[in-house]
Amino acid sequence: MKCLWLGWLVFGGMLGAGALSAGTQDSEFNVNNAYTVETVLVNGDGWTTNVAADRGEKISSPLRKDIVAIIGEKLNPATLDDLARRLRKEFHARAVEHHILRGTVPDCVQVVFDVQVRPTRFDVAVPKFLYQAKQGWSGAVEGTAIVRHNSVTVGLVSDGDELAERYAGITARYQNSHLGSDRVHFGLEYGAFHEQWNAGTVEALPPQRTEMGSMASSVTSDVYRTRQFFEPVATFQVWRPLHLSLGASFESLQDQYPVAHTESANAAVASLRYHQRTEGSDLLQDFDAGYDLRLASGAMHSDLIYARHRWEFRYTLTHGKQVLIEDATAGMIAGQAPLFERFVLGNSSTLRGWNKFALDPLGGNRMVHNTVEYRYGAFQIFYDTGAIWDGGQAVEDRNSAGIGLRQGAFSASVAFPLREGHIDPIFMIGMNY
Amino acid sequence: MAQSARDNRISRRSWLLAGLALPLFRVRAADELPPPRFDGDILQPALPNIHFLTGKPLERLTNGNTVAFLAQITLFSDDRHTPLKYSPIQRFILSRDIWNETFKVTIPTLTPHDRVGLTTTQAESWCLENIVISAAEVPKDKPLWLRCDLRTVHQDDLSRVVGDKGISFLSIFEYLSRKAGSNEPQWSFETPRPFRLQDLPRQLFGRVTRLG
Repeated sequence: MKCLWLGWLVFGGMLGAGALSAGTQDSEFNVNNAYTVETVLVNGDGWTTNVAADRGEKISSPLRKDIVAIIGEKLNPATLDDLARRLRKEFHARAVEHHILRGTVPDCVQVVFDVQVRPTRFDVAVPKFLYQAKQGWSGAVEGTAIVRHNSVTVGLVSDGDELAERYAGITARYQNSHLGSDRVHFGLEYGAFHEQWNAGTVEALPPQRTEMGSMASSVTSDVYRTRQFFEPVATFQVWRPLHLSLGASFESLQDQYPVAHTESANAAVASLRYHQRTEGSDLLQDFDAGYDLRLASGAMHSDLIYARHRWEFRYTLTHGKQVLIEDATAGMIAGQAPLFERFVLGNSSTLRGWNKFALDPLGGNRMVHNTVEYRYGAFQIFYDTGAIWDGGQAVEDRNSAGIGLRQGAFSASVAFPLREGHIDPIFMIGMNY
Repeated sequence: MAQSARDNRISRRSWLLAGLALPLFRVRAADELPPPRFDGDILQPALPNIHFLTGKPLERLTNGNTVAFLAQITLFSDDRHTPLKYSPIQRFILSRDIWNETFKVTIPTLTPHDRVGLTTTQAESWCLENIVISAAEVPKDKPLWLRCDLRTVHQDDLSRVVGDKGISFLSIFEYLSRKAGSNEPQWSFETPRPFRLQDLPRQLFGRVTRLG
């Protein structure tokens, strides 16, 4: 309960900070508010664009549309502050300042946004943190250095939310966003984790066999003490909304039963992503679809042989302050996949309100899930439904609902499992989860 | 000999202490003020003709932005050791007309007061005239010292701290560094000698609001 109050307090602070930064009340006293905006220019690193006249791709369509909307209107410095903030985010700039200059005719003004790029290309960031009442804390911290199109990231992570295991350790990532062309990206990722297991997961595994090298279960691996992986992946832009990624994943698992030994799960990885954004007069629609395949075979000297398929579809409809999200995912595993590959429902993003260990402590090799979420400003309400099972078992669908607040990347929510009998709500608060 | 050389060296602890103390010397000593004016009800510091519409604030104003200044007066007793009374923080909002190149100053009280079409000097003077403190409940026979602080308000942008890659420590560092006030000018004035209300001549002075 203490955590609940602490969470709301922290989130309230974040909302307050957001509101503070959303504009200044002083701007209503600005003497220039009487003037009409004639043109808007954006100056970048060696480039200038007249937002109304140039239809280039420097500025995203929704932002350009909002900038163009102030032309012909009375000057509103609070709106300029907001647009500057959005430009800064879009260009990853250190700062964006706006200047007001005289227009070509009296009582009209020209607005100029100056985008100032970061002089330093090194940063340390917290990309994610989360408190979930059942799983505890999860979070990551990472440092990134960027040189031209290359970035190197080294980080620490402890995550008890995403998988059936809690993994904690280091990650390192190299990314090249221009491998001969802007259409080809290349990345290498390495991770070394120490695992912690829920008692329910360990108990759910079949009894150990004595012969080393044999598998404890015909559908998954045994629990492992440590996990290391190395994953090189190249991504190609096939055509504008479609990206294809191809690569390999080499995982090494150190099992602890019956005696310490190492298993490998080496897989070819492929994914296909489609993203399309369409704009109407008032509506903004986003379509995201993806398919992921991980194929582990003896040809790659993998001890665990399996094929993991995952499909996802996400549709977002935005109309002013209102946002409607439909998110569907499904997955299937054939063969004997390690525990980290198995699907999990009942965490901070799926079947919120359910405890993942109560649903299936080992995860499942079949999964379907759907979320419908409605947001109005900072307020959000959602309904999750899904099922997780192993092939050949009976399928039982579960439902949950919840409400929360969201401000930018920050979110706090309470979710309830929809079932008969005692209902225990689960509280979540965090960022980018 | 070796011992002597070691004694003469500045120790690491001394360097550390010197480094920690260095920021303290950035706080500029307050400029001296003559005794304040008093109309029997309100005290008005006799501020010199300072020009605070310069540098970064003026640059922001010239770019068409709004700049706010905050002022506060403190009355001390007991040889400047005990703060006796603080004025409410007074806020002045300035903007500069892009076409006419004149200033507008607003005092955002319940019924905001403003002046438009002011020159730089007029805008500064009007702000300074309206920095006052009520003398109600202040002992008339007690020696007092007055201190006046004036500074700009930086429009902090907390959203810079949270970017698309999460919470950025670099941005937090930049944000906190800026909070130290390195780029934001501030002025501080105080009366070097004590005065008593009963000794001050009564005089009328212009102001738009009775603050404090």
